[in-house]
Amino acid sequence: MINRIKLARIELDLTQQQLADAVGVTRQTINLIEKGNYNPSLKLCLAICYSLNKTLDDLFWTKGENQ
Amino acid sequence: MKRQIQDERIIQEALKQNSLGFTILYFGVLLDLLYRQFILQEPVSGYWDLALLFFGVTFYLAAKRVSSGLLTNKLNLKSIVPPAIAATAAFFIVEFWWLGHKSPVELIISGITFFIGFYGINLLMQYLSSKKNDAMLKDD
Repeated sequence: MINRIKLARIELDLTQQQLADAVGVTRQTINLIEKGNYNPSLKLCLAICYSLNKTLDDLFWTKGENQ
Repeated sequence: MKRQIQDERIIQEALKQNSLGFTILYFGVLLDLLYRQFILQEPVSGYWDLALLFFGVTFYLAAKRVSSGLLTNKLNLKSIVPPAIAATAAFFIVEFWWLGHKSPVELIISGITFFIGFYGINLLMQYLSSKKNDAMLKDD
């Protein structure tokens, strides 16, 4: 799964730690998600979307999908 | 108010590690039991506690697989035949070479009984598991 979390986070001027605190996970998890090394659950995806004021479509897509 | 989400990655990783640790322990106990039984030929009284623990855990796992419907979602009578034949072959080997039951009639009768029992238990497990799967598909 590919994501645009880093870009959306920077747009809001948030650090990885701030986003991690907002969604209740560790900074390591956010870093792994941004690098595409960990696929979060739908619950965590939604929590990230709410924190970054984006929709699921804005932030997550799979290979082959046009974004 | 801040949402409280436990870090799922850490939980998943811990569960994976626990699962691997359990698998190593489970097969370690199995090998230990086989070694004591067939190589050292210890009496059962020497390792009954370990055997009880092993079979208890095995029974628990089997019961959970069935009750959660993970064993199978559809009855498949043919799929039970190969494991039943393999288990009966192992039963024959133990009966003939280890327990020394050489009488062909006794071997055949006990083998058939074992085969039917093994097949029946597996069939029952599959039936209960598929019933659970059917129940999941029902609407309220």
